[in-house]
Amino acid sequence: MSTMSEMLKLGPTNPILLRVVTAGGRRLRHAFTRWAYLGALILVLLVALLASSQGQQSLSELAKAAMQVFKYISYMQLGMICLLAPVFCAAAITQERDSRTYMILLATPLTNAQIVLGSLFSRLYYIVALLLSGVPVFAITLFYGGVTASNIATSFAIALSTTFFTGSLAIAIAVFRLGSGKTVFWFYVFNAIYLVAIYLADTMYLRGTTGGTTWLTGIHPFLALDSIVDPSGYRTPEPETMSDRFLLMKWYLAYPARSYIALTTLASFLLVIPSAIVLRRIAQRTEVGIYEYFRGIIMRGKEAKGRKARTVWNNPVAWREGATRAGFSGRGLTRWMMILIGVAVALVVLWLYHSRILTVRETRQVVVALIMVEFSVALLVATNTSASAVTRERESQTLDLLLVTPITSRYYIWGKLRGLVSFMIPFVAVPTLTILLIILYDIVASVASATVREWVVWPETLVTLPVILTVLMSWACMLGLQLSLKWSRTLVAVMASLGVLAGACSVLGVCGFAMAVHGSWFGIVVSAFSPFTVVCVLVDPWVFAPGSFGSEGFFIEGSTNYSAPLMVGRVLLLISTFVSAGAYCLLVWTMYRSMVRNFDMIIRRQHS
Amino acid sequence: MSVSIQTINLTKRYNVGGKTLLALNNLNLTIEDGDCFGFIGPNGAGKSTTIKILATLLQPTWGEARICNYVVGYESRKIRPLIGYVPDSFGAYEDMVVLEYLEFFAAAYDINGAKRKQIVEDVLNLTDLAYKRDAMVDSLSKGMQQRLSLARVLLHDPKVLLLDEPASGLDPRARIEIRELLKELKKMGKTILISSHILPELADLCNKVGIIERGELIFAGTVDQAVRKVSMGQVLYVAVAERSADAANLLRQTAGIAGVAMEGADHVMQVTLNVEVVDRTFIAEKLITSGYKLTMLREEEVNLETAFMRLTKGIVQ
Repeated sequence: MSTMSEMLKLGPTNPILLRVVTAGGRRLRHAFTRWAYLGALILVLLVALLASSQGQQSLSELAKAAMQVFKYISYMQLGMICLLAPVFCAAAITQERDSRTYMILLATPLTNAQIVLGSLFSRLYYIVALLLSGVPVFAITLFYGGVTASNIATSFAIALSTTFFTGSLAIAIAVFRLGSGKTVFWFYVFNAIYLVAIYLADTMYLRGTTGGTTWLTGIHPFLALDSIVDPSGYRTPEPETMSDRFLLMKWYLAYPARSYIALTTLASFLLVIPSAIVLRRIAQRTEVGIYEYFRGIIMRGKEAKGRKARTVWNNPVAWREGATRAGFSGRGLTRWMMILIGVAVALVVLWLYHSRILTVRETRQVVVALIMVEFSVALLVATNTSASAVTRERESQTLDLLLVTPITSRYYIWGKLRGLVSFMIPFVAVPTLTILLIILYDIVASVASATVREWVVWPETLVTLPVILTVLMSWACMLGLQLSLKWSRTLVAVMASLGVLAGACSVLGVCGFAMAVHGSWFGIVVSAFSPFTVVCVLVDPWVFAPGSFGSEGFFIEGSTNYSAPLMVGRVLLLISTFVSAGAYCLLVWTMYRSMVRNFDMIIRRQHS
Repeated sequence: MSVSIQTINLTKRYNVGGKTLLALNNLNLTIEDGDCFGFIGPNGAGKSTTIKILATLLQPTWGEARICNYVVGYESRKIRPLIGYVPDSFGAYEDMVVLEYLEFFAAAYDINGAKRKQIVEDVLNLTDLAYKRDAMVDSLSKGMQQRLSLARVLLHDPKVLLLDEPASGLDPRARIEIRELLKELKKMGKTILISSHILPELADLCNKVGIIERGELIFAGTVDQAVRKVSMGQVLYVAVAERSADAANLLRQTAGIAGVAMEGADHVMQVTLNVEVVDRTFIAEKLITSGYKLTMLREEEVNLETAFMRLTKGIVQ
């Protein structure tokens, strides 16, 4: 009886899980999430049904239409899970910050396995509840035929195993003390990079050679789902055709969806089991996480002893954001590391260009890729840093100390913005330095060879790029600051800021890139207002604005690099970039004004 | 003497989960220049809310709060340079050393250049933290953090100090050090409003106290007035060598005595006198003339703690 009761405590009667289940139903935030999720699912279902059932007459056409609908809602479901699972599992990573409850749990007679599984299941409970609420929506597709119950079950199993893996990873990070609150942000970023990179590698390189599923399909949730929802377009190889492969590999390649489910489940167990074994041992052994442990070794106790004080600026708020964050803290180290890597890569690119391993066109493409990566990272860092700027002060209770000083809201917000932008300046300096090196090399090479060379990057980019990058960085900082003021918790503020930034950049990017292709002056002007498009067009207008600067573009007449139409196009691009920078400045100013106006009211409401 | 802190019908309501919580209910308080006012009350009585309103961090729902005759809310910008606020928890910035922490707040009060350096040095010396100038703020002990908090609020030489439980969680040495520091500040003529649960220390430090319960001020005055207010019943403890029960009966029948209760195994009688009784010698006289051997006769010790316990009911909202 006692053994049975202990076994049950691993799952259904686990006190940690029971607490979450009983309390969870009453939380309005979770109810809203469920409603929003279901609403989005139903909306996609209705739109897809309407779009795909127009003019369908035969049963087979209806079945095809149902499969299409199933495809869309499955993507939607998996996308939402990838978005929400890290948010819900984040508490596991940050639980250490609330170590009082953690320590109390460790002092109870609950076993390690009961604590680990209780924490895991309680994190997964919301996501599983969310998934289950979507079952009736999926069931509708069954009525049209074409979609089988097995398809639906596999789609759900992919979503569930992804959730299980995310939760297990979060628990392992928490148990092994590999991270802190900041880890949640990077957890998200690496998750997104993994999903995008593997998907692109499969679709751009490997899929072309095999014509169907590849070895990457079994390690990527969306590719695994593709093999289920689009069996004719993304074909799996027959096991008989792979006689040269050994049994497990044959199975892995022939059944990628099942392989994905099996692999993620296995990986989850591999993360959970050691966590359950060492939970108390790690908790007893050290009070610090691995990151802090290594940092302590590097610092050799210097931090505990203290250090020489730095000079505080006359605007202390700006100093706090700009100078102290850039010190020898985790964030400061990350910043310097990114900068060093950026400079090193720029030098490598220059060497490759000098050695003629890369042609002018290839160098340009590599520089675009490099600057895009640097710009994306800079935007992420700017958003993350600014979104936590006010919430962290609120959490550490230093905000109250500042609010009782004569510092006004205008002074405070201006200080924050100024400090954050000065913190971000080196991020802008790296792409600028890359461009500068390339342009200087071109100038020196032209003078040395006394010939007119084709520019890798037009010299005016040296002015336009840093200007637009700085302004866009300020915009990202302002966006983060605004949400940091609005939300009281850092995690929520960071996630909301990232969501808004990603949404804005995606929408503007889609419009911007579409307009850049447009073959007239208008395309250049409009595309300058999209953050990612303008950066791409400034560095490589030949590829990203083919309608204007391509071989048959609007501004190309004759074959010389300095033809009058081309110069007009370059001037127009320059002016458009400055106008766009001005517009973003205006946007930042408007946001700043609105923040100053509402600051007292928001703070007062939060206090009350 | 002019008034430094004044609240008039100060009322604050919070909305907690759809329910309205009355944190302050028509609180009327007057603290004069140079007073050290101890604010006492059970947890949740409204002490921190009052201090936060006075520190311009909260807006009252009703009523008015004034600091040096400036109205909180309307003239908050004029109030902020006049006050120094120490919250109940230490707000530490990560990755900052003591000197930077103080310079940071000095800059927030627009103290710059050489003047800033001088003032920071002065407050470091005053709070005995000079030797910790290069130490990381978050590595300091709790006692030192509280001293640093006091150093912070002294940077701009405020007239009024609002201290919300500055001694909570401190060890005895740190508590004594803080108390001595506050005595220094009192000597410097600062008006201090301090909330605390350590009543003997408040009695030692403050010239006036206010007792608050459920958002209402139930007493305000000097410590002596508080003691006198609760010792109105006049209680004496009496013991005789033998036949305690008989002695108790004898006293019960004596005029001027309101009641007699036996206390503990050593048969000590708790004798409550009528309010109008001034001369208490008749008790000893009565017992000795009746043949009892008197072994103890003492007045009940009434202090701030006793006063607090008698005046409050321990009810929280």
